[in-house]
Amino acid sequence: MAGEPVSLNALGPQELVQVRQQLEQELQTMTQNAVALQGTAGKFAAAGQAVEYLQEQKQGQPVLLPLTESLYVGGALESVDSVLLEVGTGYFVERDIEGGVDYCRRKVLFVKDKLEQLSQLVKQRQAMLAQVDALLDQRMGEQQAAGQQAAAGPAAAGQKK
Amino acid sequence: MSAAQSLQQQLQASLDEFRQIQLDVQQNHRLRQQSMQQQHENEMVLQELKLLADDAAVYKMIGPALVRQEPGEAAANVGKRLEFIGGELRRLDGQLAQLEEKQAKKQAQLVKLQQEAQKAQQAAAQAGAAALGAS
Repeated sequence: MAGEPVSLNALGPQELVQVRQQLEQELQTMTQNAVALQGTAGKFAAAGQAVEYLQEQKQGQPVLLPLTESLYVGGALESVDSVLLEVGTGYFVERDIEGGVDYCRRKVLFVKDKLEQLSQLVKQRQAMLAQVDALLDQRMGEQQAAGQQAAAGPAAAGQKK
Repeated sequence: MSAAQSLQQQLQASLDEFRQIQLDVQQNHRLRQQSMQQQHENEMVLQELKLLADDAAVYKMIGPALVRQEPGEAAANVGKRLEFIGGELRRLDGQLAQLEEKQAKKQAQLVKLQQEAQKAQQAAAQAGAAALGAS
């Protein structure tokens, strides 16, 4: 996982291409993960809002519960002062409204923090990728120049237009 | 001829073993990642459980049903699971170290066998050339 301290200058074009591929792959996975984290943060934020909204409601308030995406049944709010939080590994915890809102807020912060870490990594990888690209360009240029020089000897007259 | 053949066989066998070790290493990585994920999740749950009052309502999902549990008991269960996962991670670490050692040994052996095979091939080629020249 650690960035290679091996000098990129020591690598040949083929190895550079390999490094480039690897970097690109890593970047892709990271971007996917970032999107997933973004989505998770959004879900927690929405859940927090829902809990806050519940707080403003009165007990016995009629509601429509979604059974499926398009089928709703009527109901009434039984309790507006406690929520059940899923805290992971099959455990659920009953908390009051503030506890629920706080839980969601903490989770959003946690996910945002991870997202920040990830974006740092992404930036780092992007910088490395740019470096490899630049070096690869340089190598290609050198190779081309060398090839032209080699060809320029016997066919110098034919080469020039 | 048969010496070269047996050498070739040895080489092939070593190569197969080497590949098997590589597969084992990959499997080890997968298992470790899984265990680490579980560890993280359990740690978060434990943190959450620690925030609760002693008389808070905690439910454990068993199949489709939620069963009420004492917060203390739940925390103890999660703690035990964390211990178990920690042990599993240590075991996997040990296994990985062993596998890497085995891998390095195998690799050295492979390099040696390959060199021998090359030498044998060269010798055979020379002998063949000499025989051709003689006839």
